[in-house]
Amino acid sequence: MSRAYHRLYIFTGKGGVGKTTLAMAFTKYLESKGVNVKYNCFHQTPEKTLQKELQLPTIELHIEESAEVYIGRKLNSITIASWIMKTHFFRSLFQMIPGLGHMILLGHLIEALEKDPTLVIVLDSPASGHALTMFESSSNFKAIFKTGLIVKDIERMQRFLKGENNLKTHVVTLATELSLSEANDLKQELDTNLPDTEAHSDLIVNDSFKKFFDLHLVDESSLPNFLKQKIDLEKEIVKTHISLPHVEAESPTKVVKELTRFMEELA
Amino acid sequence: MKIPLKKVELFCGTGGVGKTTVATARALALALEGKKVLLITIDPAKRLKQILNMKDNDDGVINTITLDLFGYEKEKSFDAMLMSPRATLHRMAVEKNLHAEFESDIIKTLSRPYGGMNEIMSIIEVQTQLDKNIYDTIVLDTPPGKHFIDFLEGSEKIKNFFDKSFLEIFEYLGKNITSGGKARNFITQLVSTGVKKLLSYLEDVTGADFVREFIDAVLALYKCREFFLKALTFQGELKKVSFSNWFLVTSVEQQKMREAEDIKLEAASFLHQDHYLVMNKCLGPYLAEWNPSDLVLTRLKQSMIKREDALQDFASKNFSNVLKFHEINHPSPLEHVKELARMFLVQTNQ
Repeated sequence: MSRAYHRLYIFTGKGGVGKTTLAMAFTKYLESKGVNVKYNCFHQTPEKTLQKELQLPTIELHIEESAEVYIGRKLNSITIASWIMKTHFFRSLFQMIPGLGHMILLGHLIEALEKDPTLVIVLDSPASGHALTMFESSSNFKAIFKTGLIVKDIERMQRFLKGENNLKTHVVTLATELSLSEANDLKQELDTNLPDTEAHSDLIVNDSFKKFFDLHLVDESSLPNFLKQKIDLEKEIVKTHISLPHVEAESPTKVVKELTRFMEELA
Repeated sequence: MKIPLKKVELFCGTGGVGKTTVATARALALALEGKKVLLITIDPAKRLKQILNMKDNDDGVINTITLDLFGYEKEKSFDAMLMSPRATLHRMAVEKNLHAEFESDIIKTLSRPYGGMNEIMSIIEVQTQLDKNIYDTIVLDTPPGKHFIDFLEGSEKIKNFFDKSFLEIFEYLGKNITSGGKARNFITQLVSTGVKKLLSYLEDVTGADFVREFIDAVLALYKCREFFLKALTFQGELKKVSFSNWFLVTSVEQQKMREAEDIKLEAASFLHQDHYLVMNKCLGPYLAEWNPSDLVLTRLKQSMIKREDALQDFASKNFSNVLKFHEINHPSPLEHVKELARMFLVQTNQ
């Protein structure tokens, strides 16, 4: 490894902005640099075909199994844990507090990182809830649990996340005002939920036509009006944020591969 | 395409497709036709606030938006509300005189925007507004993506929440919630022993304070169960053609066609014939007029056409009612709403 990387990279943002594509491209980038990296799709349906085509190194966790293992370890009995997880009471608890499950997942990932100091994890986490519940939950749960084993674990997790060079969060957005203002809100909420961290989140502008035209040396005056207007709206955004070009490729696999060469800035 | 007037219109879709903007445009279009409309947004992202220039303390409150904001007559208007679980909970607390109980850390935490009670509280709020019976149509901007399924299944959660095992726990803890002390039968006793064990395990993991406060919190919510149970009827109503219109919003820009299909599949038990696919941000009309001269741009044009054709193909295969809205390149969100409302009116009056 020629340079030090962060331990946990979180790619988040609204649906359809290209989180998964970027998280995968970034994983492939790190892999090409010889890093022991694993991609995790968090609590989403995995893109199996894409993962296979890309031969993506992954770490897979299932939320309920994760919880069962966690509780089992705390009580020194996997049988009791599986029994507890089957009760209505606990199932309702999990449904009512989605953040609880997300936190247990995050806890598992952090544990893996602590066990293997060479490991780097790229987390592909949807914004609508997940990334936020995950961080909000850790402070929320501290407030509501107060004592007990969970609080100790939460504190350990928070220590890891706040550790120097451990966490890097990328909020992915499209190059439109609307998408950007939503991403900015999300960034702000993430930053307030993880205070005292050096690693504040970055905004990553994806699918920029302005960048595409720059890259292909296209003369802007030759563009039709709707594209001129589009890149006019993009200009300010692209100037101030890390931006990735619109990519022309016939399959999602090729898009990921193409984007891999723009990933250095994100490390 | 004529869209019949219904009590509720639901707008669903993944985040960032312009769902809130499209839902707001629909509310504007209905208001322009003289209908009395309430727009509720359940999306915790504060998009609506930005579009309509609402203030922070407007959460959970009904705001009347006069249409001069969009350059129409000041006399016309629609109502809009940003869903706030906390405001709904507060209203319940007032009605039930449960202020002290609702000050619990647990209830306060759960009713934060991402706390987990958002969906259930939203259903309660919508049901309350429906009961007032002052609106022709309530336009609902639902949470993005899978959270929308959570929203629909909110009432399932309600059922589980008031599951028998909770009652057992209260009885075990000596909390009197049912009137009159029924003799415990053998089975109840068995369950209670199980509950006792369960609680002691739970205490190990979470701490005793949590268990005590959690039980109190649940008990306080239990005292409000009539609100929750009334909201259950909403889920049943949604399935009725006479009650609801469904709009699945997708965007050409985002290549998220599969998600529209997923949502359609997942919502299959709720969806009925009156559902519409909204294809937002179409570039078709612009692309048709574009004659690029060099190779890079010709390839770009072709790929954009290909993308749009694929979406069109998907739309006509899977949906019988499709609304196509072209992309609007304008920095002001108000202009977007206005232009989309115009397209709604044109396409639904043909």
